[in-house]
Amino acid sequence: MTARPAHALDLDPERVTKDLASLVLTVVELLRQLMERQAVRRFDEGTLSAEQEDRLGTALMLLDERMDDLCAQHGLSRSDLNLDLGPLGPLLADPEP
Amino acid sequence: MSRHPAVVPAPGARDARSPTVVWAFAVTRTPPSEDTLVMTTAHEEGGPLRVLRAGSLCLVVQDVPAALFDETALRERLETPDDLERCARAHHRGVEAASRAGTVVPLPMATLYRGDLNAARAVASREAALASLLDRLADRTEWAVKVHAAETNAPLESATDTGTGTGTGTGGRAYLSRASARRRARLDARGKALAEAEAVDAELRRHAVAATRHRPQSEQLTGRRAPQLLNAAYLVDDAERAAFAAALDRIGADGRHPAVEVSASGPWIPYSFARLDEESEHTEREDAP
Repeated sequence: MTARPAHALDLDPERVTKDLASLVLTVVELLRQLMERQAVRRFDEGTLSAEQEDRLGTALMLLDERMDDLCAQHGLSRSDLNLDLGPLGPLLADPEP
Repeated sequence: MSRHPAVVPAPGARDARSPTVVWAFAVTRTPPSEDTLVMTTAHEEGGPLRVLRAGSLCLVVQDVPAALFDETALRERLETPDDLERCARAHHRGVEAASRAGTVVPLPMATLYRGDLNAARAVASREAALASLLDRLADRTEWAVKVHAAETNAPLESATDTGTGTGTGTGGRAYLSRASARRRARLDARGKALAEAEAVDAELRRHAVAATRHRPQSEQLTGRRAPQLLNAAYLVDDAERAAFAAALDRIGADGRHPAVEVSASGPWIPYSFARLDEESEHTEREDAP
């Protein structure tokens, strides 16, 4: 028999905060990647004006930098931000290197 | 309210109806020797290995305590990785012992019966299917092959760390074009690796009686930073084993498949090809997405 019942929750506040941060950042990263993918697709198709390209690119770049900062603040790396969805594979199919 | 004096069953009486269940390891035509049975410890909590006769077949089993192995207890235990591993290893030891004297059909882990009668009846009712499976597995072994994408040692530059002007002018466009190039490179690399994984599979299938694919393992499980592209098992005839090994060597030779890393292990008892419920089919179950 194990000392701790199987269904007990780990309520160490520091860990809970970190897990929550990692979950929230994972969702944000998912959205960021989706937006970037969409922007890149339109960029490749050439359906954006030069000004639109610049504004979109700048916004995505700032968001990318901000993600780095947030990850660093919470002691996470980008590759930590993923969920294994079992048969569906990982949530973020190709995480940033 | 006066209580009935508690009736405590005598220890002897309890032992007579010992609360055990029967864990089944494998079905075979050739039961292992008494020595093998005695020498093998499968589940540490259980009794010695035994052989049950069921028609023309034999079932290798072990009595295990119901308190640890009944449905609820076992389900809970198998959720903890340590217990899962102990059970899997114990099961494999039992299957291996059963296979000492000849071909076996290994049963899925946690095949449990309430008693000998149920176990023998379950085998007898599927005697024909088990017999043909035994014929199919005779003189054949399983080889496991995993193909991973090669880990890129030169990580693609991050979109942000080139020092071109930020925020203004060409910054945004430059970022998008870098992101686009990065994405193309990644898709290219993945496409190449997938094609090579398929080529490896095709080459190995030529020397196998049957092949099957399991779901690729997650990176957490493999401990690699590159995705697993192929998690395959091959049923190889003993007569073809040298040719299969030679094919593996050729595949592993430098430069043949630069985009992937191939690892193989075997020979194994053909667990992946011992499924009764799927008939004995020669086709693979699922294809890569």
